[in-house]
Amino acid sequence: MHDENILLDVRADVRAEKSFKKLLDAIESESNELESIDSGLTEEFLIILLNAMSWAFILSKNFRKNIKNFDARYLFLGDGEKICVSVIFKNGKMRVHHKKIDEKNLTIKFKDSKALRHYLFSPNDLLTPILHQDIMTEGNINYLTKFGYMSNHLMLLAKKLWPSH
Amino acid sequence: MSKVTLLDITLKDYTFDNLKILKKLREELFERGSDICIERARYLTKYLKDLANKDEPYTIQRAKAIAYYLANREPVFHDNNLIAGSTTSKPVGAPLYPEFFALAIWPELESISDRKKNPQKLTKEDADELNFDIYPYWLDRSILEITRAEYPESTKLFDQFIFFIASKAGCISHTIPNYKVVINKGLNYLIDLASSKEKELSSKGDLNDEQQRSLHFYQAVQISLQGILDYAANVSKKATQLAAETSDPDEKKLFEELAEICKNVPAKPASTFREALNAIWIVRVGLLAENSNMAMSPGRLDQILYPFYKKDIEENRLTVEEAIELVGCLWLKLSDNVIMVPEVSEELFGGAGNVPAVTLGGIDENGKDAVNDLTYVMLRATELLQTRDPNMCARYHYKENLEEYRNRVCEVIANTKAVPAFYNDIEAINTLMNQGVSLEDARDYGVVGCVELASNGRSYNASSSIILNIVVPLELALYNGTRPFTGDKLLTFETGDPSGFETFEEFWKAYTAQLTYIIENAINLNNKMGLMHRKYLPTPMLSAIFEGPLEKGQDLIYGGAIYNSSGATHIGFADAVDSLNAIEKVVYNDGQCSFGELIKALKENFDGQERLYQYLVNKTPKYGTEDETAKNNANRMIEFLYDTYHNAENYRDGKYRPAYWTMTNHAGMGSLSGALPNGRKAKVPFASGITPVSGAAAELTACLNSVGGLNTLDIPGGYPLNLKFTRISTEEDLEKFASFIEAYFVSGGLQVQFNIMSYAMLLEARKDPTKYPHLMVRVSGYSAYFNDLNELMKEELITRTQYDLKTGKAISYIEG
Repeated sequence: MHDENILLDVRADVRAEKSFKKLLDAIESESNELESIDSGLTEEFLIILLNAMSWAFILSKNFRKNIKNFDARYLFLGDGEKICVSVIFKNGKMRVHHKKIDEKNLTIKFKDSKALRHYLFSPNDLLTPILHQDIMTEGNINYLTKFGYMSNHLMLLAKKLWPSH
Repeated sequence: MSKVTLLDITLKDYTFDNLKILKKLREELFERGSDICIERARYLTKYLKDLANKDEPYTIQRAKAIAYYLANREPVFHDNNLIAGSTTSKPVGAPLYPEFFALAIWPELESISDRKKNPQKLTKEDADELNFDIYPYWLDRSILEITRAEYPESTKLFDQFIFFIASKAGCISHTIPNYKVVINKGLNYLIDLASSKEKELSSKGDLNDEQQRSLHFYQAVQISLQGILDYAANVSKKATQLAAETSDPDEKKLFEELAEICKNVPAKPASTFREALNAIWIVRVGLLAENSNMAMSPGRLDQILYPFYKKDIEENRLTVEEAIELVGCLWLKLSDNVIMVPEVSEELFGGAGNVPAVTLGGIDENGKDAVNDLTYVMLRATELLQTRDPNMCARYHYKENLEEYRNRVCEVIANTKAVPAFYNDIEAINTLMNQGVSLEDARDYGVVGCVELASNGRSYNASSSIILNIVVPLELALYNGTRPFTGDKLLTFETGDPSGFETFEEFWKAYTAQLTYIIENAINLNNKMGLMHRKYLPTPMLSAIFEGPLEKGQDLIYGGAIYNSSGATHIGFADAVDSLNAIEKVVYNDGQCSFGELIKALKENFDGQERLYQYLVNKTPKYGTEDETAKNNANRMIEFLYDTYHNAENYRDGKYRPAYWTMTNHAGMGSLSGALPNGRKAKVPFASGITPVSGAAAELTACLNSVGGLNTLDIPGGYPLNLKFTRISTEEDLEKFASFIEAYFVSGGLQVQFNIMSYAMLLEARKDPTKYPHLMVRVSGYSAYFNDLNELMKEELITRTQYDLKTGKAISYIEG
């Protein structure tokens, strides 16, 4: 993907920049393996990722290609059901809701905050938490790998934007 | 009359000094890493998405898609191999099968080239094509997701991965095609046969559904085989072009020869040994276009190629040196592809090749010694090349085969430190006959993939259908339907708190209830997936190169083969048996502790429970010894599994065949399991295959008697017994080594494979990989390069019991 334009656009948009920097903070927290994170903060991490993803879709034509003709519905449930976030891709757009949805392609259930963070920030490693049963899925797991690609790309992009972060 | 005329069966005068082509090709192979090849995925997707006539039966659409790929793919020559054709567009390629598991690497597309363990190179352009064009088409079309959509309940247990792996999500493949018909009659013959069958059927007028399906099958056979012929023609044209372009006289000669060979085969019957080899190879390339590259095995090549070899030698068209070189070239071609492995799967499958098993020796259909000169040629090529693939398997009939053959196989094992694996003809043939295989067909068995047995070109085994962890149900029985790794969550159903069990039988009942539940789930999913394979992944090409389907008018997936079965292999056999032994002894016989105390110790991974831990490790009965409790529990487990599977039928009216090969799964699955009553601590690898737990069997003779004493008839899927010996350096060592194998086979052992290496050597290899850059090891079925394996698997190999050949005693492992 050609990300030159998005590099400029994200830097030019204060809100986008903020969103991406938050994502980097979150990644850094993950790599430092901060343990004292409650479910509220975990949810925040999820929202940070989804916000950054939303900005990337808005700003990058190439990144937007990922959701062209991609109609999909994801439901994230964590800490029992304390965390409940749904993501809907439709007509080339991404919408995030804080409620349950029907007709999901995939439901991703997290055992706890740590599992969610691991999942969000180790997207190359989607199956390990499944093997350890830290996350459980219901539905088509190809949608998990597709989402994994997009979040992985996003993180590589964020690191490219602020390499010294 | 003996078919061995060689004056020196070791062929030791043939070395890399005079086999320079092989030397160079081998060096090139080891210098190369693997690349992801998207060519197949690209053409298949393009055809099905844009070009297919959706009104045609899907069998026809898919056959046309495969043929389209074969006809359009780039014919490439990566080196000066004496055999033409390649599995992929890359020198060592990992082909993608999006209808199976290829989407598993989607998250890794931008990092797979640089990942730490076993990177597989992927260009940015190819990654983008996969992300934007190819993978989206398959989101809802991979076979697992089609099955899930059709039968949502059937995948629930499988989705947790820890209970069992349903391999049909990744392949069926595991079988031996009938290459005899390819080299003796050619594909034109098969196309004509399918055409005449089609005409015969068409002339009947109104056809019922089954006849319609047969009609489409015959059409699909012709389409798919034509795809192979188109590919061969393109390879021939390309060779002609390269011959014209090169100024090197040797290269010109090579390409001219290859151009001519591919004009003849595989269309027509092979007329020379080299043509026969090339015919087998080109057809294999076609078969891997249709079927995933997992354990599609060439079978008894020393038997089917021998007439060509003999004729060429007698007519002075071929020398022994040239034969070794040609065989070696095929061995290296078989190494031209690897499986695509997502990063996480490295834990379970890391280091695997594509495991094509080649079978040598044994007896023929008439029960007579089948070893011939070509057997020794193939052994010499194996000894020289020392490559992971093909997976070399030597059959041995201790009543019919000569000692000199047995000893030569032993010598090759000593020199390669790992291959071939040894198979006992008497047990293997009896086991197959017990499954309904005729005597003649059983005598013509070959090995599939790791260790599975199949009558060549007649048995559609699907031998890797289920990979089932038998330790997990033990945990479920111990924790009343839960597992320590997943807390209090009820995973299956309650079988009662074992603290309240008054007898060992009550625990056995709880264990087998959990085990049965998982087996039933696995069988149910496999059968459902089989139905989906019928609909979406028929195999007309493979079916044509098989005995049965063309005669019956039935694709293999509908049961067209002469023999049909499905295989289910089991992980954690020795640990499960030893845990049962331990429970029986400490809780019910000795009263060393209560069940509650045992479970508490397990939950705490024996922390602060040193006395009990030592007792469990050192004083409880161990499988691999002469202890009667251990023997009883091992046999009971084998019998129980056989009976449970044998009560079920697969979707092709075949039986399920239990097996005990584990590849590297025993390491990966072990890392996901808690402490066990046999004293195995949490997250430690399980023992491999049917091998006793490391350190448990102190005496080699007792170990061999124990494994040999298992009822082989109840293990029709086969097993590997993994043994590690210190160096074999003298004639006396070799003789002793051979006599161990002989005694083990006489006692009823089915299979055995070796690593001739010490704890110290493996520790050194782990510490400094450059000292042993291509060290080949037997994992638990296939061979792998030690450096490619994950850390858990390395640890398991290092700590496997090492026996002193001279004393027959285990050498204690002292951590390095």
